[in-house]
Amino acid sequence: MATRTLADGPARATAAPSAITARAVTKTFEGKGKLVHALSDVDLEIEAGQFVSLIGPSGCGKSTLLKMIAGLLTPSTGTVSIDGATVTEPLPQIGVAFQKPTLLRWRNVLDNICLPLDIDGTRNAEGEARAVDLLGLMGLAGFEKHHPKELSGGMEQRVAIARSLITQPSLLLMDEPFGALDEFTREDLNDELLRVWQHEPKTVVFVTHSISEAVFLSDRVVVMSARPGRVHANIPVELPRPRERALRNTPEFYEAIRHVRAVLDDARLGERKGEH
Amino acid sequence: MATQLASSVADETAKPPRPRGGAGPKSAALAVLIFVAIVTTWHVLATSGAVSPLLLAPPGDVLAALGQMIADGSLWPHLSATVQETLFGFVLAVVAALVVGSAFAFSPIVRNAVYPYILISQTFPKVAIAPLIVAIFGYDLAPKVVLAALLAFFPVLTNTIAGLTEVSDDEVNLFRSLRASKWQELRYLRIPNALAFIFPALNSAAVLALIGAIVGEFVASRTGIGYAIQQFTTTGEVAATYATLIVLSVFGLALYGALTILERLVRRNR
Ligand SMILES: Nc1ncnc2c1ncn2[C@@H]1O[C@H](COP(=O)(O)OP(=O)(O)OP(=O)(O)O)[C@@H](O)[C@H]1O
Ligand SMILES: [Mg+2]
Repeated sequence: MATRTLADGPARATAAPSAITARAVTKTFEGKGKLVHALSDVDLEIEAGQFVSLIGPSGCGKSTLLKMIAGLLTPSTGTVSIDGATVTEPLPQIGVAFQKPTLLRWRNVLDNICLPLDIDGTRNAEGEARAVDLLGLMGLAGFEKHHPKELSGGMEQRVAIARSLITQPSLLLMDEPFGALDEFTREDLNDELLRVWQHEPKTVVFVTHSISEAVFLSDRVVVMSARPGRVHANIPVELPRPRERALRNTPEFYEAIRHVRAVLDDARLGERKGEH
Repeated sequence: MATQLASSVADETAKPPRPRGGAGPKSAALAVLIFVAIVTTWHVLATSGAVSPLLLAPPGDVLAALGQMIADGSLWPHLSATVQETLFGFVLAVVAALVVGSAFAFSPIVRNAVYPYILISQTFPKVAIAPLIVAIFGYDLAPKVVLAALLAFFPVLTNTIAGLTEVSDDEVNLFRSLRASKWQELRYLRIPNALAFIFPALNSAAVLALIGAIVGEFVASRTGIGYAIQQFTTTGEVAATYATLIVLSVFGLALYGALTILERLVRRNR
């Protein structure tokens, strides 16, 4: 299986995973004379090599925070730093999977996955073989020559994920990457993502609306509350690794989910109380 | 904003849908049927006396006139003049529009300053200045090329600006996250994006260039299809007039076909 080739292949000598720190970060958007306070006073510490999920109500600023770590947005106040250096522009070691797949419609699937290599000027047969492997990993073997308009939303998302992995980033930023997938495909891809993560050590910041997905994947779940967005709670997930499918049927897994759900509920209630 | 400038929003889907599969033979049969119906109606109208023979010649006569023009070679000088005027005007317009459009796309200051004038010249009926242009450029090739270029210029200009600037924030963010240079963003994002806008504009530009050339010939000329149409009409050679119109229509289709082939070649390589 393509999956195996990729996971068992030689690990490329990549940069060591990065640590992320956010200090008193706020973000205010100015739109049509109205100010939107997207984030208020966010403090976050992510150790190198950790898998951390961000979860919280829609509009609480998850994508905004992720874009700041990516160097695509600057905080209104406060700082975001990676390995101690303040982020001012996108760093070379990042890979980003955006909330919208953002595939180039004139490029076929293989060329879309290889776009980062084209821009680095490092595209070669080896890179393309890796792209084909990643495509197989995403369950899309044989779709190399298809164009984005021939794919479903979930398929486009998976191509975008393959693209974010092609450069073997040591810091992976994923914004609801599996949002458009059915439960079973999502679980398959969760397994594959963990396999890649175990094989190529990297820090992952993963935005999701799925509690079970967050619990299954993460070392820690960061629960955010809305309007203005802030970190409501940090929940460590103590489940053993490596995590396999069977874990999903254990009482420990359900217990962790129940706990996160309770905290998330609390975050939402707090918000509603705040409005009165 | 570029959005307001775009005269036509372009996409792969902007082309008329082509019938596929099982619909093909049926559509072909229907197309033939429509053709037969048109020619028959035309024939009946022309021969029954319902329409004066001073206005309409029967299809047979038109075909004979066309054959005659081709056989005695009288068509060629006219056709070649119009083809030259149209193509020179078209190429001039496209090159100028691509250059000016790119300059505008990358300088918002210039774009905003010049925008009102573009709008004025876009809404201004440019054929109205045809006599003036003839007065300036004389009676030969030049005024027709200028008119053709003037008409063809604006759709290409507006769509070039739109195609180069209308990329989504997400696309720009993707390229920023990949640390792409401005040149790479142009090469891998903006130019391929612009092609989808520019090709439909080329089709309108070709038709407009042809209109410009014909109008120029109407105003003052010694050759050209437009000149021939005027001559035949004044001398009452109705069949020859229609034959010339058919030649014009075939030329228009040929232009369209050439652009379609060019588009396919370019898209394959982007
Ligand atoms: N470019 C922008 N301009 C103005 N407001 C913005 C911009 N981007 C985000 N916002 C606002 O900031 C807030 C947070 O947006 P963000 O996209 O970060 O939310 P989110 O948590 O990712 O939501 P979802 O779960 O629905 O994706 C929202 O209220 C949104 O309207
Ligand atoms: Mg979001």
